Amino acid sequence: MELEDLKKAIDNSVSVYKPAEKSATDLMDHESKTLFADLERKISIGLIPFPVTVVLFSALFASNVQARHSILMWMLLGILCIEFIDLLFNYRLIKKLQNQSGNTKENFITKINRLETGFKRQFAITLLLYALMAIVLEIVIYYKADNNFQQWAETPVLLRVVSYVVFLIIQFFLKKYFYKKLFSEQMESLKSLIRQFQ
Amino acid sequence: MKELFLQQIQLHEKTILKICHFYTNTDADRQDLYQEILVQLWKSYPRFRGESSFNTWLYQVAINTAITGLKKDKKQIRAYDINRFSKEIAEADFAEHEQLYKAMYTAIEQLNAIEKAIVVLFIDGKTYAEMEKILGINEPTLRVKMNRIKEKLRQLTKNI
Repeated sequence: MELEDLKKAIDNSVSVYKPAEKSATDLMDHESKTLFADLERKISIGLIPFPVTVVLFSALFASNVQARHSILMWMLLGILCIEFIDLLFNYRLIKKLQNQSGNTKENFITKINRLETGFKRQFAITLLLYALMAIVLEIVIYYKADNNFQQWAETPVLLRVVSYVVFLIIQFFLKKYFYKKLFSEQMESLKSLIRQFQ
Repeated sequence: MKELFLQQIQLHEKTILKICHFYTNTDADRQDLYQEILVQLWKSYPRFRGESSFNTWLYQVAINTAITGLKKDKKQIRAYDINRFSKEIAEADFAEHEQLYKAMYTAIEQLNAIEKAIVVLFIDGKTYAEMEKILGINEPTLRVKMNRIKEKLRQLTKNI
């Protein structure tokens, strides 16, 4: 039995493929069931608390003068914004990864590139923002702009720098862990598919 | 736009069914994949600029979806349904060679995702140039792959 025989048999037959149970009109507006669509839904749920928190912060700043002048509160808001940006990056990436157009090989290579460069860019930006926050904190300490940091200012500079570095390292591993958790399965599967092209 | 899209889908429905048939093992999986392909086609349709034929574009989206689309757990949980062949072959017009076709389909099941895509395109009568547009594999490589696939299928079905 050859593949050509199967082709001939299918060409000569009237109905080989079982028709769909529902019409296209009923099916096309359904939600996608892919892994990425599932992730997109989860991340969009995760994005909801951020605007709510920003509103709460705004209300606090509007009603409380002390809070408005507290660098600590602004830093908390800063951390929140960085994490929000990080989540937005993942959301945008997942949206792009759902594109199924283009020839198969190109489509898979683009997805792999997006996953690889996505992490590097995302990691660089969030870490840079955290490093910037550490610099701002040091400026605040230098100019004694906020009494809340009095105790931290009394800590030796070297220890402070080590703390910032440790924080950045922890951030790096945490981001790497979550990125892997989100995308490693798809990444491996895409890489194995690319090997099948050889 | 929706009307035009549905008209095109109606014309090419057999292509989608064919892809679903080769990439799934059970009826339920086939219905899921069919739905997913339609969802992806509809989502991608605004980006279809007519640079290639609708059929080529449809093949690209449908094959990409079939290969990477569905969630892994769904593929693994459902059991392989060997009886589907008898049913479908009986519905088709080549029931007299049932055993042979069953064996051929079972052999195709064992091919990897890209090889299956080549088989689907071959069965649909696509030329190597068209296959290259859809899969992004150049013609000489496709010819080598096709020969290897045929040999593999020959080996897998030789005892029948």
